[in-house]
Amino acid sequence: MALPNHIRSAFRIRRKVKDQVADDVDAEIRFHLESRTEELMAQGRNRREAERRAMEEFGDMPGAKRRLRAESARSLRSVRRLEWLAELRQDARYGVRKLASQPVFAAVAVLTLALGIGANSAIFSVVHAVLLKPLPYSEPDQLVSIWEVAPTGDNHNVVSRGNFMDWRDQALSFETLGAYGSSGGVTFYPDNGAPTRVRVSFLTPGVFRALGVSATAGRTFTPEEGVPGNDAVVVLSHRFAQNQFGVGDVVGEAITLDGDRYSVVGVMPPSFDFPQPDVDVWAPWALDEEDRQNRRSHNLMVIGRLKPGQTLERAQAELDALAAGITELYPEHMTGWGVNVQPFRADLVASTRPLLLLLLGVVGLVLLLACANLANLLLARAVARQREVAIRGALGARRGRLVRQFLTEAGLLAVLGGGLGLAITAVGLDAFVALAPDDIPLLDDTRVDPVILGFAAGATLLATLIFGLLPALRVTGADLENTLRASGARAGTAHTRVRSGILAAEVALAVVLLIGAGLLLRSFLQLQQQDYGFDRENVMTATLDLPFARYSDGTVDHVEFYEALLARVASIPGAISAAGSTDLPAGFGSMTFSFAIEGRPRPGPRPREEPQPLRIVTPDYFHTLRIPLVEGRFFTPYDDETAPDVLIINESLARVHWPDESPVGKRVSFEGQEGPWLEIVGVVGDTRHYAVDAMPSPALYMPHAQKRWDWTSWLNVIVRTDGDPVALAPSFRAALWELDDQLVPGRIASLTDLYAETNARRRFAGILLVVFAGLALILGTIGVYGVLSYTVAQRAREFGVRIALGAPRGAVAALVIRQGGRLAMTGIALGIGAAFWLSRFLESLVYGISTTNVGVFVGVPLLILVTAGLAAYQPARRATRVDPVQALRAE
Amino acid sequence: MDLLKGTLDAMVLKTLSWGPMHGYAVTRWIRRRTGGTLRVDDAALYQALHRMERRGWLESEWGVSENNRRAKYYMLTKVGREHLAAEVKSIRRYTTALFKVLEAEAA
Repeated sequence: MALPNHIRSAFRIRRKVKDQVADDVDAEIRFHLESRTEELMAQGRNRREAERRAMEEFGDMPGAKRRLRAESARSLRSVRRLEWLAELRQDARYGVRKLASQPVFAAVAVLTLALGIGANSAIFSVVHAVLLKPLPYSEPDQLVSIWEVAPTGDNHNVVSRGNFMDWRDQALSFETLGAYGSSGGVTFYPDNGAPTRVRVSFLTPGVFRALGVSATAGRTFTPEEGVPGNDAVVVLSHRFAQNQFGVGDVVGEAITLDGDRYSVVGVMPPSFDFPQPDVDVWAPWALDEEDRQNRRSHNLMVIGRLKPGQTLERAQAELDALAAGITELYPEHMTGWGVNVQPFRADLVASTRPLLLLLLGVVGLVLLLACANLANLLLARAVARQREVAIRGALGARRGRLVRQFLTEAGLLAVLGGGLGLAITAVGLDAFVALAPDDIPLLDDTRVDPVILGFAAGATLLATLIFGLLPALRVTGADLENTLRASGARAGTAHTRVRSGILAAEVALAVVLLIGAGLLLRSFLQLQQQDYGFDRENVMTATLDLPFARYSDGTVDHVEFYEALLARVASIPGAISAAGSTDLPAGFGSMTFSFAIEGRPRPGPRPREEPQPLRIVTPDYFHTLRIPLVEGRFFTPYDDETAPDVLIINESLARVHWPDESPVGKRVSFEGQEGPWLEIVGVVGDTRHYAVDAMPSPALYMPHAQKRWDWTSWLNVIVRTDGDPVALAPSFRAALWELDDQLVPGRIASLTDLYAETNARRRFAGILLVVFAGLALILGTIGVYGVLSYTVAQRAREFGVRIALGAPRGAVAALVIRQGGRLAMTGIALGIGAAFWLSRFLESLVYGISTTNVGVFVGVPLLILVTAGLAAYQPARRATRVDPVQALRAE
Repeated sequence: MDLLKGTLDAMVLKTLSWGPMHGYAVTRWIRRRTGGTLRVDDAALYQALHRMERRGWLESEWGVSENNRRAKYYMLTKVGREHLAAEVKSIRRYTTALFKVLEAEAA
């Protein structure tokens, strides 16, 4: 359709630059030739001759056309660019005015978006740090973790020293293999000042070489320092070196840890945080040929660097072959054991990955919901402008130009919301990370960097397209004729359908999030109410290692030391009783031992039963934790080294090995069928020892006074109190220092706090889900309210007619409520379906109930229905108040 | 006679300094003033018009001509006026210098 130019320009309707230019150039030249021809004819030439002459004078016609077109196209484009910017400015100014005139709408929109974008950026920065960003080691993809596969099927079992040494010395797939243990606390004695606890990580020199890191000052360990006798050396963390020695050169200094002297050979860069961020000191884990014989105690984690070009599969195959050889040499210990090689990064974050992806999904849903809400709000506003849009469209305005105008407005909101969201992220990220469970690896690397900025910008852009494009396309694509012909009120019905669709999706999203939150809340209640098998309240715990050097030379008797300490602690005002144990509840786990049962020889290469956790405790342990006695007796102070060796087992273990008889009086041995024997004197109740969500599991207890191994000298302290357990800490320290003022207790915490830490991931996910589900509920309510209010306004005339014809006002209200109910029900049905499918991703976090728990799947929809009802109340009331006279006159 | 470089632009700008004109009027005006001494291709003249429009010396607008046809009118912009003044000055300097040599009397 060719439009007159002035109309085109009045409505700023454009054509393609190329066509426009070609037409203009042709017209200009045609005008020139015609004018010249006429002039020549007026001078008396005939038309033919005049035309020929005019052409001649013009010169190179095709060349001129080509050059003129190129020249004009360039100027036209730059004009249009300027115009485009001017239009953008104009649209933006218009948008700003529009927003400023509706400050509440603007504030709600910007805040919703800011929360959505902020939450997404925050979660994504964690995801980026933990799952995506390359590890700060050279060629991190070559790094692998190696575990043993236990006969129980556990494929992440720690590795025995002998096996590690064989792999290290024989496997050809690796450039380097290194091993490290779990890091622990030691006491650091500064040359002047009070002793403090520091965290030390023991590792073989190969770890540094496998990671490919070097010290900033001095060096890391040499292979020779990984052998007993040469291992009195340490490498310090940057932080520890700074705090203790300031800026000076510490290499060559000597420091005292637990009474031993170590010389400092190097300082690591500040960024080095292997195997965890809070390590102060690295010391060699020295191994010699005696260790090579040890195939029984598993306590090493192994990291390796593959040779270039070597694959994980071939490394796995090589270690499988080695393992088979090892099993042949040590059938007693190694039958049934295997090897598991994993990519290091993936292995490190394997347990965290589902949690983070879940959270990313949740905040993604929230952003989607925020966008849906905004789309609905913008759509309502767009409909009001529909006639203007339709007229411009009828006059040929490009749809793109109209869409752009809507998008500019949406973009304005998005930029404000996205900017605010990013600001929220930047300010709140540290607090957010602090809320996250400590056991997420690499979490400390979380920061706002260009990648996060890019993500936020991308999310903002995407959000704009989602909530801006839909109203724009909807309005500009509307059937022109109908819009123009229809009255303003009727034009809205098609949009109401779209809005209702969006709203149903909103309700569905809210249902999904609320069901997730509900499942986690139910799990929480379940965990609070469950029976732990003992009383967790009002118990103080303290970790306590005695400095090896001063307590291992025979001058101090550990049993006497702890007896004296516990007696003092138990007499502190506020303490009810005190006990010691090798491992605290909710702690890192227990040493496990295999044992033989008297009179039940096992055929085959493994002469003993499956290993089970062994806790070495003082007599008051059961009394202090209030673990009930089921059969037999507790330990007494008379169960000492002069008395016959005794054991207590729990019900689970009794069920496994003595299902039909009493275990009391039965004897077991940690060696074999030739003894020495320990007699079971009691059976106690099961406990959920390891974590809030641990099932009760078998355990053996041994009196500390009858300990059989040196390393079992160390006990942690458990105190039952009559009030706030942590308030006892100062008195506890005082009691400790009365015995030895050089001792430093490790961590003092209440038992309930220790258990809460084992629940940190669930709590983190739970808090976020509850917050976001609440947000979803609010957004959904606003959505329902908005759509219904809009409907009432649209149908005011119809309602007026109904009322005028005698319909009871209640029936009119019912119409509105029914519409709200229909919307909510559609959303709920969709949401339940989606939640049914999605709740499987909560499997690892939901505890004690099914992920399709009926209570939650019924309760949440009811909550939504009630909320939708509340949201519908106000619009429904408004519908009954429609004045028939006014409504009819308004047309 | 062929044109010296740069003089066509100056002539077109000067022509338009009397007021807005369409391209044909510009060619007619120059042809009449020079009495046909200077050979100017219409093609070259239009190219000059378009080039100067892109440079911002001229502006154009479609209008209706004296014989009632749609024609593209050019007008001088402020930048174009300044450019014309500068151009006239430099051509004058050039020709003055040239004639000082060409018409020199024997000393």
